[in-house]
Amino acid sequence: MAVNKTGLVLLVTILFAVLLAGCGGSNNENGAASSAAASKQSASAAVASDDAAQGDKADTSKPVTLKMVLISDGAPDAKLVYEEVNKKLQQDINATVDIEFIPFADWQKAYSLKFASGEDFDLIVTATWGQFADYARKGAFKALTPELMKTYAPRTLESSKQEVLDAGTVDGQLYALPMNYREISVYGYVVRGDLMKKYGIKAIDSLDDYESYLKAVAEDGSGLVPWEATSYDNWIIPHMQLQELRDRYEMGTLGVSVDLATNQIVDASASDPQALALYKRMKTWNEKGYISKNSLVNKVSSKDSFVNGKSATFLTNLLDANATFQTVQAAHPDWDVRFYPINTSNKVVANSYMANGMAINAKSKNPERALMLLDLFKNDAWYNQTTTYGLQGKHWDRSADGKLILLPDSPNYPPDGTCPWGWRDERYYLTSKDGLPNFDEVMKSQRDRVALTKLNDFQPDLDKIKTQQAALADVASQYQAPLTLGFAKDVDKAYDELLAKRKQAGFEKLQQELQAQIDRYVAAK
Amino acid sequence: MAHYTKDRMLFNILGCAFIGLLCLLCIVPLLLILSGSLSEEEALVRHGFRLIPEHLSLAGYELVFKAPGDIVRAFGVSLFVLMAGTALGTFLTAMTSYVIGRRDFKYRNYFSFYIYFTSVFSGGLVPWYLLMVNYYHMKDNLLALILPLLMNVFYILVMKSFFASIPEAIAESGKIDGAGELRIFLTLMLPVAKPGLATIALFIGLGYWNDWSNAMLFIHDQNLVPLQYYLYNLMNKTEMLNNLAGKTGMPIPDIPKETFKLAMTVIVIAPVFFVYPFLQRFIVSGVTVGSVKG
Amino acid sequence: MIKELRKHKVLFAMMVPAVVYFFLLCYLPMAGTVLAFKNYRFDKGIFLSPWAGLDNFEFFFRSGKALLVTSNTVLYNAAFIVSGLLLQLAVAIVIAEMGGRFLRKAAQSVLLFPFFLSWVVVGAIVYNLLNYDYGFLNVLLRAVGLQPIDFYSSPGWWKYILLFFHNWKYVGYNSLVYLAAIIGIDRSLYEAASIDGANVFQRIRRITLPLIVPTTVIMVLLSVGNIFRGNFDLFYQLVGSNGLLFNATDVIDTFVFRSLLSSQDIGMSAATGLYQSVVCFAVILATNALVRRVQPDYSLF
Repeated sequence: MAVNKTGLVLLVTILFAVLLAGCGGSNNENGAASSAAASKQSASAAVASDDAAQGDKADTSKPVTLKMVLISDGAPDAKLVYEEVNKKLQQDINATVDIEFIPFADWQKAYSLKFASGEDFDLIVTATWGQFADYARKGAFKALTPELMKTYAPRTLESSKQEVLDAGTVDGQLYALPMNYREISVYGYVVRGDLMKKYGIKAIDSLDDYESYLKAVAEDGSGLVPWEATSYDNWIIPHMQLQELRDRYEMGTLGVSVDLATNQIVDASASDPQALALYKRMKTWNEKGYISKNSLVNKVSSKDSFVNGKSATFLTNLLDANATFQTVQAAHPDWDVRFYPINTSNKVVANSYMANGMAINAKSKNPERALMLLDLFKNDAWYNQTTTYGLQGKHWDRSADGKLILLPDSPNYPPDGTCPWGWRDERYYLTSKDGLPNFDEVMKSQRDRVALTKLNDFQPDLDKIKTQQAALADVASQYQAPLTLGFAKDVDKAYDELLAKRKQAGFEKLQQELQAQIDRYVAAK
Repeated sequence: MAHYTKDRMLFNILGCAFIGLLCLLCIVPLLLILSGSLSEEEALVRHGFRLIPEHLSLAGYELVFKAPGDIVRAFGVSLFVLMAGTALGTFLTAMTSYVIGRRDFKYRNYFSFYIYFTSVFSGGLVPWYLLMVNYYHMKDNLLALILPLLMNVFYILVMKSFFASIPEAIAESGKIDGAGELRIFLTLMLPVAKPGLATIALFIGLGYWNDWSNAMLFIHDQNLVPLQYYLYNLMNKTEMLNNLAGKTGMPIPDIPKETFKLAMTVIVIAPVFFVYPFLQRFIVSGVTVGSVKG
Repeated sequence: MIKELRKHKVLFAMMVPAVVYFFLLCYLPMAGTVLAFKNYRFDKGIFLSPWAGLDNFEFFFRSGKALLVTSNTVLYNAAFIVSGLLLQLAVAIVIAEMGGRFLRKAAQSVLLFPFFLSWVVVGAIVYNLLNYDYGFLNVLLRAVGLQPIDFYSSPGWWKYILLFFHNWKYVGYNSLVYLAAIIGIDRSLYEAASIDGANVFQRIRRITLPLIVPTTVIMVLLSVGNIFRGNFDLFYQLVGSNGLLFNATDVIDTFVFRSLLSSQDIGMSAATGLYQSVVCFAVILATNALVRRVQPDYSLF
C-alpha cells in the first residue's frame, strides 16, 4: 500500500497544481475579459455620446462579420439565401452574417456548451422552450438597455407593443427581442375523411366522437392500426381533458397549470376526478386495441405511421397537421385528411411572445451591429420573408390574395425550416395557399376565444426549485406516461401512486415557491 | 495433428455447437438489416423487419447514391482519421505500456496509477470542451477527431499484459548484444508482440470508425464531417432527409426513411467486413516465441 | 530518484508522450470537478461562479431513487462482468483451438458483427423482435398456439433481455483480447504437454487458463473500476421512455439524463458524475489492494 499512498500524494499535488494553474489562467482570462469589457463599455459609451451628438445615428464605418447561432438542421439553399441577404446587409449596415446551425438532435447539449465554453458568437435563438429566463439569469445574454434599443433598434421599439418587449424582460432587464407574433398552439385530431365517410361519422367534436372513430377502425378488420401513439401524442392527450372543464393556463415545461380566474396554481397533488376519468377512458382504449400496445416504445413516429398508411389517426398541432395534409395530398388525395381541434368551446390561452425570440451573446464583440441586424430582420419585409421563405420567385411566391405559394425549389429552403422563428412578425407572416381547407376557420375560432392572462409572459425563477423540478421531471416520465396511454392495470392505484410520488418529489415546495413568484408578479403588473 | 483423439472429437463437437449457436445469433440480425435495407418502405413500416424482403426495393440505396458527393467526402475524412489515428495511437500505446510493464523500472506503478486514474475521474464535458475549443483551438480541426481517441487506459493496460507474457530473456539478449532501450523496444519487442499490436490497432481503428460524438461537438464544416456522423445525422433527423429529397427531386412522402437508415448501416459496416480478414492474419496466426515451431 | 532517472533515462523519455497527453486531455479538465459545488453562471465561468455548497447533490439523494438506481447499476454491471468473462473466455479458447483457418476467421468476423451496430439500430432490432403486434418472438409464440408476451409492459423479463444483448454485442469484440493473449502463449508449452499425454481439456486447464490470468485480471479490474457507471446507450435505446420498466431498468445515467433533460443544469450533472467517480475510485482502490496482496504482479498500479 506504500506505493498507493505515495501515488495519492503525487496525485493530490498534481491536482492542486492543476487547480492553481487553472484558477490562475482563468483569473487572468476573466480579468482580461472584464477589462476588455470595461474598455469596450467606455468605448460604447463614447459611441453613445457621439451618437447623442449626431442625433441617434449608429456608427457603421467599420465592416464586421456577425455570427448567428440557430437551431435547425439547415437547408441545401441556406447558403444561397444568406448570400443574397449578406449583399443587402453590407449596404444597409456594413455587416455580413455567418450562420451556424445546431442540429435538432441533442440540441440542448450543444446549446449550453456554446455559452459554457465562452465561444465567440453574436446572435442566438432563444425561447421559453429553451429556458430563456434561466439563461438570462445566469448571465448568458447581453442586457438590451433602453439606450441601446433607442440607438440601434428604433424600428423595433416602434413596431413592438410594450407587452411584446415585456415578454423578453427578466427581472426588469430586457434580454431578448421576442417575436412580434401571438402564437396559439391548436392541438387536435388528424383523421382520414374517407374512413369517416365509410363509418358514417360526420365530425369529431368530442372525445366520444373520437372514440367511435377509433372503435370503427379497430372493428373494421382491415389491418389498419387505429392509433400508434408516440411521445408527442402522449404530451397532447392531457389536453383532451380541457374540453370538459376549466379555463387554465399551462406552464408547459413545469407541468403546472394555473387557474385563469384566480391565478392560483391548481394542485396536482390532489386527486382530480376529471383526470382520473380520462385515464380510465385511455385504459379501455388501450385494452380494446384502439391505442397500439407499442405506444410507449414505438420507434417510428405516429405521424410517419399515419403517412405510410399503417394507422388511422394521430394527435398534433394545427401547423403540423397542415404540413401533413400537404404531404399526403400529393400521394393519397383519396384519404381526405382532416383536422379537428380538441378545444372547441373553452377559452384559449396564447403562448408567450417569448415562445420564440433572439438574444445577443453577453460576450459578443459587436452587440450594436447585431442589434441593428435584428432590427432589420424584424421590421423589413424583404429580410423577414427572405429568411423565412427563401428567395421570392425561386422558392416561393405570393398569390393574388396574399397567400404563400410554394414553388418547386421550396424543399431546398422549406418555409420556416431554418429557424427564422425568433424574428417572426404578424405583418409578414403568410398562410399557405394549399393547406387544410378549414385552416383559417379553425384559427379564427380559436383566436376569437383568446383569454388574456397576466401570466402569459411570466418567467419563473427556477433556481430555488431546481431540485424539485428535476425530481418531478423523472416522476412524470415514470408514472405519468403509462397512465396517459392507458397502460396502468389498476388506474386508481397507479393514479394514487403518481400523486404520492409527486408529493415525495417536492411538488408542494415547488407550488409554494411558484405561487409566491406568481403573486408578486401579478401584484406588480 | 493428423488424427483426432477422443477428447479432440468431444471438444470439437462442443466447441462447434457453442460457436455455431453464437454465430447464428449474430448473423440473423445482419440478415434482418440487409433484408430491411432492400425492402419497400411501406412494408417495413407496416410489418417490421423480415428475414426475406416482401417486395424487393433498392430505394434506400438509390437515395444514398443519388447524392454521392457528400458520402464519398465523409468516407475520405473517416479513412484519413482512422489511418493517422491508428498508426500513431498504436505506436504510442505500445511504447507506454512497454515502459510501465518493465519490472525493473522502479516508477512503473506511479505511471500506471497516473494513467489509470484518468479512467475513474473525469472533469466532465464542459471543462473538457472549454479547453479543447478555447485553448487547443480544435474547432473544425481534424485533430479534434484524432486526439480524444489516441490513447486509452484500457488499451494501454491490456497491451501491458501482452508485454508481460513475453519472456524477459528476449530483452536480456538484446541488452547483452549492447542494444539501447529504444532499439530493444523497436526491433525486438514490437515484432514479438504482433498479435497484441494487431488487436490494439483493431480496437483503436474500430473506435475511430465508430466515433461520431467528437464530430458532433467540434466539426461544423461540412467538408470535415466523418462518415459515422453523417450517418448519425441522417438517422436522427427527418428534416435533413426532407432536404435530401429536395436535392434529389423526390416528393417528400416517398422518402424511404427507414430503409434508408438500414442502407446506411450496411454501407458503414461493409468496408470493415472487407478489411477485417487482412488484419485477422496477425491476430489469428500468432507468432512463435523461441525456437520451437508449433 | 536521480539515480533511477539516469539509469532509465530512455524509459522516462518514452513515457513523456503519455504523460503529456493525459495531463492535457484528462488532468487539466479535472479542475472542472469544482462545478459540482458551483452555481454555474455563464458570464462568470467555472472558477468565478458562486459556490453552491452541496445543493447540486440534493436532487440525486433526495429523489428517493438514489439507492434503487445505484443498486441497479452495480447489479447489472456485476452480471455483465461475470457473464461476459465466462462467455468471452469460452469463445476465445474454442476459437484458438479450432481447426480450419477459414472456419476460425469466419466465426470471428461473424461474432464481431454486432459490435458495429449502433445501439440505435440494436434498439430497432430488439423492438422488431419483441413488440406485441408483429414482433418475431410473438409471431412465433402465436404460431405454436401460445399466448404472446407483452414484453414492453413486463419488467420481469428485462434483466435477461438486457443481459443477453449486452453480451451479444460485446462478446466478439472483447474475446479478441483473450484470443490475442492465448495466441501469445509459447507454442512449445503445448507441444510438451501433448508429448506428456495431456488431452485437450487438460491442456486448456493447465496451460491456457493459468497463462491468461494476468489479462483476465486486468480486464476484470478495468470493468470493476467503472461499476458505478451505467452503459447509457444500452439502457436508453432498448428501454427508452417506457416508464413501466424503469424500476427494473433504471441506472444512474438514465435517471440523471431524464431528470435533467429539460433543465440542463451543469452543476447538477457534474455532481452526479463526481459521486460516480468517488465510489468507483473507492471500489477500485479496495479491489486493487486485494489483488496486490494475492499477487502483486497482477495489480493495476
